[in-house]
Amino acid sequence: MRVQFENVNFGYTKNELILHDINMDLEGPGLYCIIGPNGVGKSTLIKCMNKLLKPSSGRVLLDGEDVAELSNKDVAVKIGYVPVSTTDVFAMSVFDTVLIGRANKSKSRWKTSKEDIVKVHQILKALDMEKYAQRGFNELSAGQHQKIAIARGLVQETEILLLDEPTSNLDIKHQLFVTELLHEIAIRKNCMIIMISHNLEIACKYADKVIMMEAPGKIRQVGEVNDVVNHDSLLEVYGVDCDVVLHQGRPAIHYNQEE
Amino acid sequence: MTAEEYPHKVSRSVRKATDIWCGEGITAEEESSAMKVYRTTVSKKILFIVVCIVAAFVVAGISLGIGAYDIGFFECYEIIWNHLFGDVNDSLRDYIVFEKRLPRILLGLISGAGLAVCGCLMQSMLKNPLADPYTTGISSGAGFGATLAITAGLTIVGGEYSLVVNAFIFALIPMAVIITVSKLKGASPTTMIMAGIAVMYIFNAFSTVMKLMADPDALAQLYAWQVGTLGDASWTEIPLVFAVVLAGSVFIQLFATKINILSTGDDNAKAMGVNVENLRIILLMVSTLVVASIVSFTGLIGFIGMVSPHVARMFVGSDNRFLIPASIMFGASLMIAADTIGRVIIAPAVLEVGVITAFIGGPLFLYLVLSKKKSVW
Repeated sequence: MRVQFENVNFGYTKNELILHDINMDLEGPGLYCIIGPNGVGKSTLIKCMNKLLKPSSGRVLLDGEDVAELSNKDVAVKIGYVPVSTTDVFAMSVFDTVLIGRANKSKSRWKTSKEDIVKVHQILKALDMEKYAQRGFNELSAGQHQKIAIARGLVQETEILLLDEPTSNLDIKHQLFVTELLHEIAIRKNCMIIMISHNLEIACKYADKVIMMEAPGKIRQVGEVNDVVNHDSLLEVYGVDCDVVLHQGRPAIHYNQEE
Repeated sequence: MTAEEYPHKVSRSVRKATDIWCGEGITAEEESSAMKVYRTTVSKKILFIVVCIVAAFVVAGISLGIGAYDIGFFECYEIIWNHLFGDVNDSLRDYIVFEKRLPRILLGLISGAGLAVCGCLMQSMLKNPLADPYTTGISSGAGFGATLAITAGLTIVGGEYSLVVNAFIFALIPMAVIITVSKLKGASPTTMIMAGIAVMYIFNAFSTVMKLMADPDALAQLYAWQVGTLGDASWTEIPLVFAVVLAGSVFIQLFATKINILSTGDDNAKAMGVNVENLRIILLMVSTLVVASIVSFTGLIGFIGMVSPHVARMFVGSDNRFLIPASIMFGASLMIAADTIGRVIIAPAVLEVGVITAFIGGPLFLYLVLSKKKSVW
């Protein structure tokens, strides 16, 4: 699995570009964290990967093929996606909500196969949500909604999974749990998981690679956590003064009081 | 740590969770119990659909028997059976059941089913609990077509079906406007609803102007059309309406899984390979054709299209694979139940079905909203 960006520019309007000349090459399984300040184009970047947005110029290549030339279905089979917020007006049960994720895997349009049911059961159990399986989706909390959305992304069993701030509503324990789980799944299932995160400490703790973006819509650096996250890069990208120390071989961040 | 350095240090809870997701530590018993739970929930949904089908037959049988000339429940079905197999014993009874009453009941079943399936579709597609088959302005278009025909005699074709054709053609105009707007601005639910409402106001304004200038007889006739009635049913139109409703329902049912995916949000649906905008436009076209063909024969029967999907949703949930057939069967039963009540409540006069649906449906709906246990919205 490989995702390449070649001179990608993107703007929602003609005059204002959000992404500026993006070039990067991500290859191989693992957890990739995209970090960067608000409004810098992180969500836009991942939406360019699965054809939700079409670059104004440049190409996005998926395993060497131009994404623009693949059908929506071909892209959907290869790339799963977990969007930011997911509330439904007419909520299904938690089980059925996750089951929707299997739509592209199911052989039959009508019959839900045993495999589908077992997979949904497995992911709900893994995320400790199986006790809510028959509850209405709208009865759950925002954090639980996020876990269900992640479950629906994971049951698609795609080579690549994109997650847009999947842990923003979770408590610290679950942020750690979910991020480490995504890392572990990436390795065990041999897939590429790309997530946007605002929790730098947790991203540093579990990411195999970090993609750091900076204003205005540029990639500052893609690489190993220890190479990317340091005092200078955080000061320049976020404007935050902090000391970065190594803790268990990974960057740990201590924020300094602004004067 | 990188992928190559496996095995590495992992939290116990995460290791356990990953094992579960990779299928380790899930016993065969656990799998079969998960299957059992799923099958039970599906059986409950199918049971509701079956109950509605039985209810439709029961209500239809009762309704067939009621009238100036009372005929028993089973006798009605016997008469139909005999008629179909060319074995007519009593030509008077055969005439009453087969020619006078059956067309009305069949049109009720068909139009109830058609309005309910389109209401269900509109609610799911536009993500709006207040949506009904008329949300996109069909009613105002058809109403204007009828107004033109009744008050001014301006019809597209002449003859017996001039009013029907007028209502049908004008009902399609709001759809054309919505599709044009959607092509320009994107087919989001809000855009579609807003465009529908804009067209509705324009048509209603035209209709109002024409009504102000109309004579009282024409107004009365128009008013009767707007309330909606099954009283004009005859064997000539039933095959046509049946064919359109059947084809439309089958088509919509075929898209049930995609409508489910659509309910998870446009971005997610696109990422799962659904062409969201085209899907909305195609479904809108199908729904408009179905509703326009019903409305042009029956007039504007309200409430069934909005309330049937909601009631069905309370019993079967929001999975459209089950919700669509459940809405169809419930809508069909509710329509003929309302019409039957309308025929007996002030007999020998008849209260039109459109009035009854609102009279009975309103309180019933309120009761269901107040008593619902699970959050379905």
